[in-house]
Amino acid sequence: MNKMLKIENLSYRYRGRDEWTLKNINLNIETGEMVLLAGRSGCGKSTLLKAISGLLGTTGSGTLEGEIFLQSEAATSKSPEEIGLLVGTVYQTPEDQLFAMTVGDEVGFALENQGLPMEIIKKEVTEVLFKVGLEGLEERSIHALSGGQRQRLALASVLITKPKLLILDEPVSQMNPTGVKDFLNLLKELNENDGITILVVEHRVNELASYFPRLVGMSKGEIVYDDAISKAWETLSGTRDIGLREPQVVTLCRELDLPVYSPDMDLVTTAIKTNYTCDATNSQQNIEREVLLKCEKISYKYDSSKTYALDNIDFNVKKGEIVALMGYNGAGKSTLMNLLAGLTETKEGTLFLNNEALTRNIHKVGYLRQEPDLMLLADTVNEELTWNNDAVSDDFIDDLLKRLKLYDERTDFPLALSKGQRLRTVLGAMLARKPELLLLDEPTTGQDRNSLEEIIGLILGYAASGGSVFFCTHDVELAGNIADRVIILKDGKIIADDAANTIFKNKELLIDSGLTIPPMVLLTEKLGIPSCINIKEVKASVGTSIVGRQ
Amino acid sequence: MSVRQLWEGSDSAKWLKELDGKTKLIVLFSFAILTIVIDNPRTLFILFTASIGLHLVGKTSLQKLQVLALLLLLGLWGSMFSQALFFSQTPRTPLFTIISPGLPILGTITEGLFVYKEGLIYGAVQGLRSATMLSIGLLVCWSSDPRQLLKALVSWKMIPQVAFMLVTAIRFLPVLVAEASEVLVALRLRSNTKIGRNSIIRHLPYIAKPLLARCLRRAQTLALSVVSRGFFLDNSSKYGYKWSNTEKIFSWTLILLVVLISSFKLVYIASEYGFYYGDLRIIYDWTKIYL
Repeated sequence: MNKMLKIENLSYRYRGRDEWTLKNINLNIETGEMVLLAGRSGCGKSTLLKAISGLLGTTGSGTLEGEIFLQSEAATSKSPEEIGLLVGTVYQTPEDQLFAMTVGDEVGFALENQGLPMEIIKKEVTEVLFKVGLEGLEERSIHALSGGQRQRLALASVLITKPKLLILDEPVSQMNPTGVKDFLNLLKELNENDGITILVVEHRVNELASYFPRLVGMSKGEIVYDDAISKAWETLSGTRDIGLREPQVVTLCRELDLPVYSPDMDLVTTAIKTNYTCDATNSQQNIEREVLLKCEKISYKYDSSKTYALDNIDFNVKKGEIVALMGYNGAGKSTLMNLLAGLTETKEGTLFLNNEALTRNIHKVGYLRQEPDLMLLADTVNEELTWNNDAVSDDFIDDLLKRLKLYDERTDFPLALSKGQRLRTVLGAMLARKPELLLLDEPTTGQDRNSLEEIIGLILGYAASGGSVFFCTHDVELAGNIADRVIILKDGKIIADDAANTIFKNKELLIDSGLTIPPMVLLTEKLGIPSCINIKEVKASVGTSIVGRQ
Repeated sequence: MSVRQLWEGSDSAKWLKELDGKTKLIVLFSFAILTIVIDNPRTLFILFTASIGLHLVGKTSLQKLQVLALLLLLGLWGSMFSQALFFSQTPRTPLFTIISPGLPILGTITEGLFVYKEGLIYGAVQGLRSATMLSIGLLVCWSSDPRQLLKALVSWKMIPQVAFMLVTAIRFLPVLVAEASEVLVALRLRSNTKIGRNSIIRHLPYIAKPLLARCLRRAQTLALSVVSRGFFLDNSSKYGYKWSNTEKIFSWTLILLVVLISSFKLVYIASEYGFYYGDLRIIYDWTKIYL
C-alpha cells in the first residue's frame, strides 16, 4: 500500500498561547483507508485537520514544527490551494461552507477556480451530483435543501476536484439515525469504488464503529490510541480522556465486568450467559404523578403551507416526568416545541400549564434551543446565570455553578468556553430561573461522552427535584436511558405515546419512524430475556444471580 | 416567505439574474456617481424612480418591495424631518413654528424650533440620494449570485482576497438577517417574564454579541472552504468568459453618459469660479436646470 498521509513529529502552538495545541503527532494513513479520529472537544482535532489541509498558516501565524507528507511529498512546499486539490475538507456545518446560490454553481465552484471550460464543468457537476444522490437538483437554491442534502452538497463540492484524501469534521452530528446510515454508506461507496482515503472526526463512535476499521484517539493534543477499532474498546473502555462515546454493548461489558469488550452481540451474549444467570422477569414501575402540561387538540398550519404541520395533537406531561419527542426531520417537532415555548401562537386547540392557560405561565417554561451559542449574551458565566434574574441568591448560583461543573470558569467569557461548557452555561441560565417545564431541542448534539454524561446528570437531577423535561432527540440511546415516556411524531400526528420501554421494544414502529432499534433490545432478545432498553435494565435482569463472580 | 428567503437573490426575473456581474456593477457604480453629481431634486427623483422601475421590470417580489418601501420611507422621512428642523444654512424660511422663542424656559433654551422650507428640500435631496442607492443596491443584491459579482471583480483584476470580502457580505446577507431573527428568538427565551417572552425591542441591545460571534465563526469556515477549493489559485485563465456584446454596448453607453454628465457638472462648477466660456452657455443653462 502507498502512504496517503504521513505526519512526523508535528507540533503546533497558536500565537499568544503558552500551551502547544498539537504535541508531537505521528500518524500514517495508507491509500484507501477509512480512519475515524475521536477525542474530547478542544483536544486538537480541528487543528490537526487544518494542519493536514495546509490551512494553519492562513489562520494566524503560530509555531508549526514537524512534517506532513501527502503522497510522499512534503505538504509544507505546497500552498493551501494546491493541497485542496488533493485533500477535500467538509466542515461540521455545511451551510457555512457553501458559497453560491444554486446547487450546480456550488459544485462547479472549485473547477471554475481552475479555469476549466463551462462544458466540462457542467458534465462533471452532473456526474458528482449523481454520485452523492442529488441528481437533477442543479438549479435548486441551496437554502431550499434539507440538512442532509446540504451535507451531501458540501461533500459534492469537494468531490468534484477528485481528491485523494477526504476529511470530514463531524459530518453526521446533526443527522437522524437513518440519515447517518445513508451518509456513511455513501462514504463507504466512495471509499470502495473510487479508492478515496477517508478521515472522519466524530464523537458518535458508537454509530460509526462498524464502518471504520481503524480508530485514532486524541487527548490534550496527543495521539493516545492508534489501532484497530475492534481493539479500542478493551484498551480505552472506562478512560474518559478521549471522550469516546463507545457502543452501548461495550459499556455493558464494562459495567458487567465481562472478560470481553466488544460491540459484537453474539460474543457478548455468550459471555453474559457464561458468567451470569439471567432473570426472566422484568418488573416495571408505574409512578402516579400530577399533570403539569396539558395539550388538547393542538393543530397548526403555517401561512405558506396547505397541510397541517401539527394535526390534532393530544398529550400530557406530568410533574417530574422526562418525555422524549422523536420522529423524522420535518415531522413537526420544532413547531410543537415553539408552541410550547410560547414563540408561536396557538391557533387551534389549547395548552395548559398547571391547569391555567400556558400563555399566562409562559415564564415558567425554559427552552434550550439547538444552537445555545445564540443565547449567550453576557461577559461572564456568572453574569449569564444571573442575567435579568434578581430573584436568585448568590448561594443558589454558586451551588448551581458547581452542579454545572462551571464554578472554576465562572468569570470566563462564555463564548470562549468549550462546546459542552457553552451548552451547560445556557442550561444553567435556564435552571437559574427555576422553570417548571424545561424544553430541550437536541441537547446532546455534537457533545463528547464526558459532556454528554454531565448534561444527562443535570437533566436527571432537575427531574428528580420535581421539574418536568420535554426534549426533542434523534438519539435512541439517550432517550432509552433517561426518558420515562416517548412521543413519536410523523407528518404532524402523534403515532405513538407510551412508556419508553414499550415504545423501544416495538421494532416496526421504530423503523417506520426513522429510528434505530436500541442495542440493548437486540441483545436481550439474543439472551432470551424480556426486552430491556438500557444498560440499567439489563443489569437488573442479569445481575440478580452471578455465577462464580461475587 | 421566510426571513431568509426575503434576502435571497433567487426570485427575480430571469433576464435580470442572468445579466453579467460586470453589467450590474457598472449600473450600480453609475447610479452611485450620478446621485453624488446631481443636486436637482427633480432629476434625483427621476433617478430614484428609474431605480424603482428597475425593481418592477425585474419582478422583485411583493414582499421584497414591501421591505424596500419601509426602508425607503424611513430613510426619506428621517432625512427630511431632521434637516427641516436643524437646517443651519442661510437663507432659511420657517414654514411653521414648533417652539416659539418667546416660550418660557423651552423657548429660551432652544431659541425657537422651526420647520424650514430649505431644510425640507435639502433633506429630500439627501434622502433621495440614499434612497436611490439603497434601491439600486438591493436590486443588485436580490438578483445576483455572489459568484457572479466575484467573477466580475476578479476579471477587473481586483485582488481576489478583497473581492472575496466584498461579495461575502452579499452571501451573508440572507444568513445574517435570518440569524438576527434567530438570536432575537433565543434572547426572548432568556426572559423570565410574560412580557419579556413576547417583546422584541427590549432584546435588541443584546443582539450584537451572539450575532457577531456566529458571523465570525461562519466567515472563518467559509474562508477556509473557498481556500481549499482553490479560489486564490493564481490562474490567469480563471473566469475566462464572454461578456455579451449587447451588455457591453449598454454598459459603455452608460459609462459615457455618466462621464458626460459629470463633465457638464465640472464645467458648470468651474464657471462659478470664474472659468466662464460663452460658447458653453448652453451647457451652463442645461446643467443649472437639470443637474
